[in-house]
Amino acid sequence: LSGNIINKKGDRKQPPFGIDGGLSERLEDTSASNIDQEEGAIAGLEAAADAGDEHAFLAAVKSVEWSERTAAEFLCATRLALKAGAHSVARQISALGLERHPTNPQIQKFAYALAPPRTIGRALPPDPTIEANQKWLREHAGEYTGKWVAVKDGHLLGAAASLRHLVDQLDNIDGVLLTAAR
Amino acid sequence: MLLTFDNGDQFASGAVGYSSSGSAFAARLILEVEVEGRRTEAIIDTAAPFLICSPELAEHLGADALDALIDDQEILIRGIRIKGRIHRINLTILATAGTSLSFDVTAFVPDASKNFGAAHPAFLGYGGCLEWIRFAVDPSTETFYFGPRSN
Repeated sequence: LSGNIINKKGDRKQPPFGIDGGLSERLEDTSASNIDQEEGAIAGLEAAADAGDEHAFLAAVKSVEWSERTAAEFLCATRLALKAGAHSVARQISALGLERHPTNPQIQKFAYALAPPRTIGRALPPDPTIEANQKWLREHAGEYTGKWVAVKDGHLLGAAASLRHLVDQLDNIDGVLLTAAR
Repeated sequence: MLLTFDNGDQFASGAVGYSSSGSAFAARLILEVEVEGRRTEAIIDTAAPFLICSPELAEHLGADALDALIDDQEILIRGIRIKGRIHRINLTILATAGTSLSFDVTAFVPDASKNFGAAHPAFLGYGGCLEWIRFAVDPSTETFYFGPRSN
């Protein structure tokens, strides 16, 4: 199970964090099964997902011979893993699908969507306004419960019933904290 | 002061004060973050997966359904099945000490009709999000320490 992913531009790149290999080994070690067993295994994924049973889903995943699977089956299995709450397995299935079907656009999108986070070289310096914003929220948020508020450097810029209406009130939202008052 | 290992290597590259809400029984830790360059707040929720963006926030960010990488998708959160869509979104954890940390993450946007998380802009889940960074919490100073995961 390779860690290679393809981003929106189609560039193949190595995720900086890698993909955990535990499932990979289990997938590669899966012994050959007859076709009936395989069909049953795919059905097992669906049943486990419908039941929201992550453990049963993992057991079903291990019984599938993934090297024989079509792109549509990888997509289906990824969706079922998400439905089952097996989110990291969904990532691994989509990555394996990309390895098996690297030119399939849907597989590329799924693998990109679920790939491990990629750090971005954007290290901002310390921001002292955060403490001022927190102080304002601590002291005044209760006055605006149920509304969205705009706060900058510890000062209220506006409040509205919806985020859209709040943004419409503001000339510039750069560096403005937009949050729901509690 | 940022956290370090015994050998002097940094554990955290940044730290930020968090605010808390709710009772002691259901306390929530809330961070000021940037999502796609827009400042908002996110609740740390280690029982949830991914970055979860409220539909209102997603609309504000321009992450509409047409841009979804995976649409019409059910996921299981805290035993509840929620339908929505999946995007890839830039998240920055801001710092009051050290430097911020930016990364692109899997983001789930629940369908507006589900009213999931409507009272909160965003949640930072563990699987697919926080699991890929180092973090630590000091309740005595209400500080969240964070840094890139090494491996």
